[in-house]
Amino acid sequence: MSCNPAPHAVADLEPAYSDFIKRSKAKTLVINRVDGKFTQTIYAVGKTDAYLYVPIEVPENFPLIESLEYGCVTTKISRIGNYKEIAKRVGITHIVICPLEIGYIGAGYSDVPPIEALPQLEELSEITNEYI
Amino acid sequence: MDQANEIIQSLYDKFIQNPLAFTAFIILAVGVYVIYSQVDKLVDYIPTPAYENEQFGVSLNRDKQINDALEDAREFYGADIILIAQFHNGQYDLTRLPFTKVSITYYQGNLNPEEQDNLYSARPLSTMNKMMLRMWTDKENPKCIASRVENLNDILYQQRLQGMGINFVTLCPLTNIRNYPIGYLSAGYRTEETDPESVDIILDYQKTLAARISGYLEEGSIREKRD
Repeated sequence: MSCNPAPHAVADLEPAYSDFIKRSKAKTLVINRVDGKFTQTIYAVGKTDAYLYVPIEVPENFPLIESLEYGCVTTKISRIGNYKEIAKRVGITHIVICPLEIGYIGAGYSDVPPIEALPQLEELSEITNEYI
Repeated sequence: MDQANEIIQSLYDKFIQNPLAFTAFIILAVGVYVIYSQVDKLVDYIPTPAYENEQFGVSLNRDKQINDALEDAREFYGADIILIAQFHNGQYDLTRLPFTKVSITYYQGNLNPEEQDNLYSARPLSTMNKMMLRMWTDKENPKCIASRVENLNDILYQQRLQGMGINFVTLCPLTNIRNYPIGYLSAGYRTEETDPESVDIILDYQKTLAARISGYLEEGSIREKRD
């Protein structure tokens, strides 16, 4: 897997991402590239110790990734084996993820996300798609 | 050669004595022979215990995915109940028109035992006729709807929800890949949801969830037909 494919694009969007974190009360925001059996965090902001660019293998037909085909998804972090430990360390209990052309953008919360988180993250994913 | 002639003569005599019985016997004998010679191929079509166990496992996993998705959605919406109801014609088949009944097949919620009376019983689809017409106003693009229970025009459906203590309800149509109606996804609230913006967000998300659930159900249906 390659390294961050568009460092300048992401840097341009940093104000939008930071603004999102403030508005939505999310603890963290990540952008992940999904490439076949692997997912790779290419950007992270907020309270996170996500290992950037380290590929993590996802099981075949992983339901959460497959569900992105239909739109944004919200779920408890306890359902996602690969990220359970990482999320526990930073106090994330719930996530909202929205599809991107390269993978997905996800926001982590320490409680049930507010209802407005969904359209806010959807808007952010549309902006991100235009840049990356 | 003489023996062969005797056998042929004997068979001919038997045919003359009773042509019908003789012909039936010959057909039966040929049929048994054909089945016997094809039995190896037939075995391929008979499900094995290992295969059936695998299919059962797949079905259980699918149900888990749907239940997990409903549980997460209920928490996100702040709903008291969330359920999937599927259309059927009173028999086991959930996919053939005309539909006359609807049954709840998945449920997540906090209803009391008394409020769950008859939750899974099949109901005539006619008891929700006006709601169905609202959802399927445009048959090609059915839509999600929301309503206060007190404003429902389907009296029996209204009474059913009130019996559960539900005062506000949202419904989204479930359709398969060919836009064929297969049921609906519904969330119920004990409190009345009055903020229009929140209702819009919930309906928007519920529409996505309905598409996802339809995908899971469609996958299960395709597997069953393949088998």
